[in-house]
Amino acid sequence: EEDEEEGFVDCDLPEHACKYCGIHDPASVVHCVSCNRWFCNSRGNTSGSHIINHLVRAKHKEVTLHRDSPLGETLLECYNCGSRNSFVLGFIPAKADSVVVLLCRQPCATQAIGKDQEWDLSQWQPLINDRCFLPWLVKIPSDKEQLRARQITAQQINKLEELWRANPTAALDDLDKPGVDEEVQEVLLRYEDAYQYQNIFGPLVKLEADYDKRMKEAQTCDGIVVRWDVALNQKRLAYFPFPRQDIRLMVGDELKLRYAGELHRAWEGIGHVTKIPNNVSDDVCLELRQSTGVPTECTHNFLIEFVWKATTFDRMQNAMKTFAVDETSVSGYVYHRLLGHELEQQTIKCTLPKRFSAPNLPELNHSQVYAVKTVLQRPLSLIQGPPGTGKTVTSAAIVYHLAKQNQGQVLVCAPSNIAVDQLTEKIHRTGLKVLRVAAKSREAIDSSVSFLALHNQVRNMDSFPELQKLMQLKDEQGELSAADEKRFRTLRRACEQELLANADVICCTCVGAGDPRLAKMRFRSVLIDESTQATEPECMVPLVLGTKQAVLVGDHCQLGPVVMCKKAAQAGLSQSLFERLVILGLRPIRLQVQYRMHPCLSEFPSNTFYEGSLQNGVTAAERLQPGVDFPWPVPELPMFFYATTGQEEISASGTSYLNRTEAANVEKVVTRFLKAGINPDQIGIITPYEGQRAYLVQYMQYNGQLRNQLYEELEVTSVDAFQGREKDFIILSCVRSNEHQGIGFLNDPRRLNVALTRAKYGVIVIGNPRVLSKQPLWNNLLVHFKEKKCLVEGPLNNLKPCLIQFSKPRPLIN
Amino acid sequence: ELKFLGEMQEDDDDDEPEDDAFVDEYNRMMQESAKRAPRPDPKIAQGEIAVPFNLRGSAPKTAATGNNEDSDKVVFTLLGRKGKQQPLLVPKDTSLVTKVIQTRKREDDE
Ligand SMILES: [Zn+2]
Ligand SMILES: [Zn+2]
Ligand SMILES: [Zn+2]
Repeated sequence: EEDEEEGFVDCDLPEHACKYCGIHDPASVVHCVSCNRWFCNSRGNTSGSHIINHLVRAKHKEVTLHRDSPLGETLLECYNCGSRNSFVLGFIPAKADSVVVLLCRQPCATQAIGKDQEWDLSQWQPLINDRCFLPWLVKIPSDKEQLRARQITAQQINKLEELWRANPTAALDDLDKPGVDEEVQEVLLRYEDAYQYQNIFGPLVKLEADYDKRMKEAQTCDGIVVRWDVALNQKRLAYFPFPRQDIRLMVGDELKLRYAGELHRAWEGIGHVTKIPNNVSDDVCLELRQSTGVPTECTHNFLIEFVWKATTFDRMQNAMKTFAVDETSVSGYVYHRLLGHELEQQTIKCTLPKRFSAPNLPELNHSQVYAVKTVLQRPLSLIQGPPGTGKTVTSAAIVYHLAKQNQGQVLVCAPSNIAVDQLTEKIHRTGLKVLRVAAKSREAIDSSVSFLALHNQVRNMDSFPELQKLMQLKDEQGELSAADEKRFRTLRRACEQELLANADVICCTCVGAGDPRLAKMRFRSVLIDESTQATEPECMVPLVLGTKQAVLVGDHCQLGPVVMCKKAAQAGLSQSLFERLVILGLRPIRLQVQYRMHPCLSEFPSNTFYEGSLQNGVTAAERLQPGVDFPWPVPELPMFFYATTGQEEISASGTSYLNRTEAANVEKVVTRFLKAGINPDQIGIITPYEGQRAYLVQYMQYNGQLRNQLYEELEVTSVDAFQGREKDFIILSCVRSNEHQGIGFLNDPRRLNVALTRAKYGVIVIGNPRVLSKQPLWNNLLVHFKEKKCLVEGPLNNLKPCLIQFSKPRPLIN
Repeated sequence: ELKFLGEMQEDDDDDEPEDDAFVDEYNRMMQESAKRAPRPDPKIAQGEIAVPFNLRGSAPKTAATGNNEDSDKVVFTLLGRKGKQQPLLVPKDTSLVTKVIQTRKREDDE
């Protein structure tokens, strides 16, 4: 007794002591099955009990009770279906007898169980309530016990959980050891040398990698219902609805599918995603690596886990290392410019072409010609392409002329596969020999340039008859003998190298430039499109392959790179190399003629984001659709701000917003367009919130006045997903309508720029003017609409000027 | 490559205290399965649970464990998946208990 008064000493605690606070009364602790740790049911100083804190933070769900607890050793599971997710389990009592069962809320506790109505489903009592286990199931330690226990804060809990991911045996004391909570260094404008560069960016990339790993690995989804199929290549396919809309899933991602074994022995298989959810279906398609032993007779109770791959981050780290240690990774001039050193402007002697437009591409305008001409003579240049200014055509022309300088192959990259494919297609049209190198996991994905992909070109190489034979054999049999497989790989490598060596231009994503197949290659000239959407280390991957001449294309007035880890983003990882070079004083060459928007649509973005420099390459007449009957408030200005004052709500998931009034108005506008003869694929609906996106899709399905199918074909998506693309008509639903809070990330001027510049023929903004006008930029936008007599309210067939008073904008804080 | 990342990047300037993130995630985990409602495996879900014969007509009895704290609890039986039956002490003031007592009373009155 007395010894314990001294306080707990870790090594003396039994195994079932709470890993946070040390409490070890068997009646008060719960065992986490996933990680084999014990936690108590006391809250201490936190918002939930220790066991709940752990389950939520570690995303664990299965628990058992202690053998010496009143109930004895018990695995908590659904009596009916066996689900072990404590978060959905609850007690159901019999109506007239003192008997209870544990049932999961959905579906078991909601469907009739037992014809004789013995159970009272209305009395379902969740196992976890108010962020702790029911106190009569797992005792809450007394105040006295809690006072004697180790005191731990929510912050310490969080750090400990984080530490466990790296080191499962870590204890609370380890939190005080150095290195656990190091502050990261912020990015600089200038770096002394490449070592300093690596020392600053290396840890940031690591932070982002760790965050990504944590997010991916923590995500398991259970209760997956699978539909089985077989692909043309004989591989086993699993289709299932993806339950988590908050997770970014990409084609090529690896997932692990698991069956815990109720009707079949336990099984797990890894595959990669070949299809992601879209408007038509929520299904994900997973192509499994191994086709044998798959429990295809089972369809229910599968589980998915994410398989994290370090490749992307490893390539960035390697690139920075190469930049530091390999003197030939970039030319001396490029080296110093990238580090921000002051240098005299250098020019490259080159024979300028007589004609700057490239074969089979549209004629270049004056600012495009200027861009091509300037870029060819400079070792490092930036091209800024505002929306619709022909960035891709200009890039393709530059690549064409770079290739024609006969100074070796040109490497062409962009952060996203879509952008790479678009550019590949344009460059191919000029007649150059283009090779598209795609990640192995993406080989099955069809695109407009699949025929230019390395793996497809390998299939068509007649000069390797033996390889062709082995490939055919492999296709037919599914696999080769060990010896044949070895021979196959050798031949394929030789074939790939020959194809790569003969190409004029090689196209891949930035990270793809770190592909081992390109490892031995050197590229004197590199063009990176959409470089403002890549992080610096991402841009370094293609740059360190021997760059002497680099062209970065992008627009720092549109959305920047996506960095998920807040800490890394705040330290500056979300600033692109392009942006830093601009701040350093390297002036981007701006493309100035836009060919996308009706002139009235480009006016505000031009004045607000591009110092009024955008010229219109299209006339109003070319952007009016005479036959279309639509109630534009000012007939010659196809735009309006539709004032709507509906309340915003928190979405069902609890993590996003939605606004029903705005959704209803979106439906009315869409229906009016469709009735006027506009096709669904001409309309884009943009909303910044996932909650609103999901609600809109659903609302139009059920409440749309016209055929369901028409609404299914509409594209409803986020601003971010629309960057780089265009539609004839754009409807923007702003959602936020709260007098007291901010307008969230509509605050980012770059996001507003992107949203406003997607449409060719017309834009309708739906939002609450009073709330939005608090933000200075939105205030300007509203004034603009008002001055043009395009700020309206009321029913669509009787729009009236909206006379609402704007709020005073808060001063802009930057 | 759909990205719905804007929301995660939302910058409301103030560093939210750690607990908010925990509560958000807790709410999400509580709601996750409720909104999804997967169908149970038809091969497993027989969908019939009967009160075992030995427990039919079992009236709620006050716990007699000798532990003072337990005097305001009644003994229920928790049915396990493999036929296991375990005593479970449920406080008298929970609706689980009061409902059963009510029902029994009504039946007795009839
Ligand atoms: Zn755990
Ligand atoms: Zn504890
Ligand atoms: Zn169940």
